Amino acid sequence: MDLLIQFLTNTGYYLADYRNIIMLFVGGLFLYLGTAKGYEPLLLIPIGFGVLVGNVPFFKGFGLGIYESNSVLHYLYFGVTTGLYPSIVFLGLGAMTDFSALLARPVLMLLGAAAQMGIFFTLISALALGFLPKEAASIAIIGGADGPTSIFLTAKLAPHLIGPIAIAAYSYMALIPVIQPPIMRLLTTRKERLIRMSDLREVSKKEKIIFPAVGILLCCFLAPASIPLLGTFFFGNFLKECGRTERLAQTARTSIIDIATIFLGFTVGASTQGDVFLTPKSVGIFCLGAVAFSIATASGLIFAKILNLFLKDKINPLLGASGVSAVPGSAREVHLVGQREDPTNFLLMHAMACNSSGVIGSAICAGILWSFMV
Amino acid sequence: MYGFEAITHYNGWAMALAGSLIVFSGLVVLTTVISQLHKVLLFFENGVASLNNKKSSTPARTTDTKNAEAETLQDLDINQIISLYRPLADKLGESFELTQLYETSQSKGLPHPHLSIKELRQSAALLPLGDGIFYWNQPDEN
Repeated sequence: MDLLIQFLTNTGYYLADYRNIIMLFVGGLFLYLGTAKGYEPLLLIPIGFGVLVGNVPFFKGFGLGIYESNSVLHYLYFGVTTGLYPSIVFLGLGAMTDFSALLARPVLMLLGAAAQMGIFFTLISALALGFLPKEAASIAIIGGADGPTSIFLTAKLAPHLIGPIAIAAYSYMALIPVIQPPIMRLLTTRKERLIRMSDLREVSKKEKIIFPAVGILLCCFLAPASIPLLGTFFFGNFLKECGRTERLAQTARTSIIDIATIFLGFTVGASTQGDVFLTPKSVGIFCLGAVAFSIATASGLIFAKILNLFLKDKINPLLGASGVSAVPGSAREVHLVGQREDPTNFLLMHAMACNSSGVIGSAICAGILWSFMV
Repeated sequence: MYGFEAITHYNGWAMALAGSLIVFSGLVVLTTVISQLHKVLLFFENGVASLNNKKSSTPARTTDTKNAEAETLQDLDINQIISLYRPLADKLGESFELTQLYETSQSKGLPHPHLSIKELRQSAALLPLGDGIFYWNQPDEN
């Protein structure tokens, strides 16, 4: 009888805490959004399932939980806490990215720079709300709308906040179709949304090969702390463009990035144990994340309008919204909003140019913030 | 510590200002460099080409000089584009995908294939059959 009672007191049913239950609902919601609604399924499904796994109540001390040093989950989580997975994800991203549109119209890169203003506005806001500088910097990077970058910087500066920050970053990335279009419509006129982009010049193979080498040198000389992200990003792109390593590029943009995404999403999800995750700080992080993402979108849009005052060949200001680095979600959304006004207006390629510059911009920001905090 | 006091205490204003200026200036430099990249490449290509010209009297024709020449052909009117593209379309058969036409025109070194194909689409020289298949809609006298 004692054995039975002891067994029952060690089951999840007995150990369950209201915080675990709340998080199980959150995990279920992520799975629903990813599966039924198709919102960023490659991210939300691993994270959602990770949340379920991480919130099964268990008997502490058996080496089961992600925060217990000898558990399997803890070893998998190592890739998050060291910044390994984000670097690998960036390798794959680089091998996927085609910079042709950006090279054909370099001015679009400035929209990627403008959209990073959300990061610095959020840095100030987080400090004002009482977060310590390292925590504030980690929260601010959510404004870059780049999950791997947010995880990387948080792992370096405020590892105790990885769970809420990663969840916030990925949630807002998944909610792009909800968050960005109202801001786009609010800040642009119909006439502006109808602007057609001029055709892009043809970019030579040599330009595409040289760009990653120039990019890594210029960006990482400026912010060496972004080497772990931009180094692999531009390396992946060089593998793609050099024409001699197609097999490696193919592996980087398929198997490697998929493996890293699975473990990254799953372990980040599992790190949201109710007792660790559900704190007042997490609520603050989610609110600031929304502010960061909205301001990043708005600053890109406003900067595009300012640029149009000086440009002869006007750009569609909607492109400013794709300056955040949520690839390719925000580019797709810009394209769709443009098409709602004029179904024959194709903005996708131009938006992808801003999007890829946003990836570079947010990685530089992460490097800058990291170096400020050292 | 909260509010402006916290921002000032932790040097928040300076971090935000310096950070945004650094990232902006970094990307402006990168923008400037990549906007000149094709010109630099063309300059080197022309240098190599002129060296080759000096070595042998026959003119060297590199890919990029071909591109430079192509840029001057941008002002072709639609009839000229049609006359250039009709033989290619004929070779591809009665119906074809635009990518096939694009690849063929690229392999022939025709100027700005995507712009030209767009012109052909707009002038109804290329008409869709559905499912991404197109056909040539110009009578022979064009």
